[in-house]
Amino acid sequence: MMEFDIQGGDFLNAGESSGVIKEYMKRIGLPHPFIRRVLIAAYEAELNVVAHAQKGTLHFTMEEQRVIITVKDTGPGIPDVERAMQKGFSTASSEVREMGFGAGMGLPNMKQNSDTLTINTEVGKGTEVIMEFML
Amino acid sequence: MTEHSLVIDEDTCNGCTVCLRACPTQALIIRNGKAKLINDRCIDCGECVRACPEKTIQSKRDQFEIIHNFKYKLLVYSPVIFAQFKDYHDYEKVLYLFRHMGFDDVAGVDTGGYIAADIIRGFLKDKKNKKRPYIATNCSAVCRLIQSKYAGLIEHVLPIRSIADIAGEYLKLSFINTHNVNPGEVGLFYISPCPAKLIPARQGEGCHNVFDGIFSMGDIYNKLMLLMDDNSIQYTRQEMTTTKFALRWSSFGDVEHKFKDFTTLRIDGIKNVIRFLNRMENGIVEDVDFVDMYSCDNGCVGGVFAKEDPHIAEYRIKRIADKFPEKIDKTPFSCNEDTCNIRMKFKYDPRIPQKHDLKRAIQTQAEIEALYKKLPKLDCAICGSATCYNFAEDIVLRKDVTIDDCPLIKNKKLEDLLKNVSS
Repeated sequence: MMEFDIQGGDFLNAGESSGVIKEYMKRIGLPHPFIRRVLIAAYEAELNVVAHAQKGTLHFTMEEQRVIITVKDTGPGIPDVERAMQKGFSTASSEVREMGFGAGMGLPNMKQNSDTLTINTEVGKGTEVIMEFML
Repeated sequence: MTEHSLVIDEDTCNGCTVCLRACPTQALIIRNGKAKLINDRCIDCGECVRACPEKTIQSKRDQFEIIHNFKYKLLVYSPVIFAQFKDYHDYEKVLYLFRHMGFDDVAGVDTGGYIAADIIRGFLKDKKNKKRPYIATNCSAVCRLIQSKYAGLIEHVLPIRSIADIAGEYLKLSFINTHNVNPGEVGLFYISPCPAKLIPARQGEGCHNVFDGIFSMGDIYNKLMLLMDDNSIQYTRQEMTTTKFALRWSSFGDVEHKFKDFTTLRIDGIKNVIRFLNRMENGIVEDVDFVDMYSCDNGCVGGVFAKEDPHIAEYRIKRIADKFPEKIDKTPFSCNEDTCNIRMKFKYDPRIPQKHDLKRAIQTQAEIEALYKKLPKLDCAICGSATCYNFAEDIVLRKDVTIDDCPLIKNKKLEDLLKNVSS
């Protein structure tokens, strides 16, 4: 329904898609706590692409009962998804950490704020994250 | 029904669209050549009053004469009034002239400032509160903006009244206590530097309106100018109890100095306020404890009813403030949460009714987006809506315009017609 390109390494513009999604959700009158959940998760997913991948896309789909956010990238992939899900685990470079990102809360935050989180990843190829938010 | 202070004089409005472009919330439209206010969107910031070349948009305010309806008359003024006069000592004259006009006692908004500062400090110190930053309630236009458009930020708003309201509560209670008079005989008035404060901010539950009448600072300025020319007035010296910080805070929003051990921000100008609120709503403001936002440039000194340039006004207030101490030990009447009505509950007041029929809302939104794609996106406002997006919304939701009201689209249609008939 809405698609945004994400540029790896472009921290400057990270979060712009969240802004557009937010306006849309406000306009159709979704409850604020719900909007907040979607925004936090979408922003984290977008940041993961910016911090780890070359490029990617974020898809936003609005259905009657749910929102689906799909973030795909052509990045390094996640070798150990279980470990990556742990709070504080991060493979972000020191540069990224110096910018205040990469605290290892990305995936935990995405899991906490979505109803279902599916991660399809292949090392060396990329990652696809599908998050579902039920109304 | 939302009450607004702004009124448009249809006789003098020439439909020029300047106000449409000035309005930060797209609350104005032009229909049949006249500007109209969309009540649900207006936050009374007064940017249209400033912009209107015909002075067609005015503010409803109380007439000064209503003070005579009360036996005792009290006045809360914004210290911004002092900055309208060049002479360093004129603030003392102004204080005397308030008495001369008939007021039994007066207090500046700064009084509310030094009372509120300690209470705010209490909130900032409370580590349990994770909802940072706190948002101050001093600017009524900002309050209305948050109430109407930023439901997610309501819990960030400090649950205490504006410093003008607190000054009013303090003045009235201290007068009643000192003189032992019947509260019903006491009228409390306020001089507002802007249209936003002319009407009580819709602050939500448990909050009565503090003032019995609110005047425009411009009207009072005119009165003061005339009185200052009157050589027969014998001035007597007036005392003012205030602090350096309170004067600065209540005039141009200088909070940094007072809350040094916290991260505080003063944000001025309605466009900057909106940008900041959007960032907050997106969840990317993390390292700020307290934010004091003002719709006008440089805070209240930039108010719509101020004559002086806001930066000159700031300089003048600083000069006056330097005469006063950093701290005062004791207020003549102890105003705290037990004695004064300081707290308030701030609630969300959605201007756009929440659409419960989500399926329809999604369809409507899709219609608007589809229409918007066809529009030229020049935001020229000639159609009478502020932006092309608003125009698309108006076609679908207000239904008071059609796509042919866009001059470019209409022209294109005529050109196509011409091509067809001439070929």
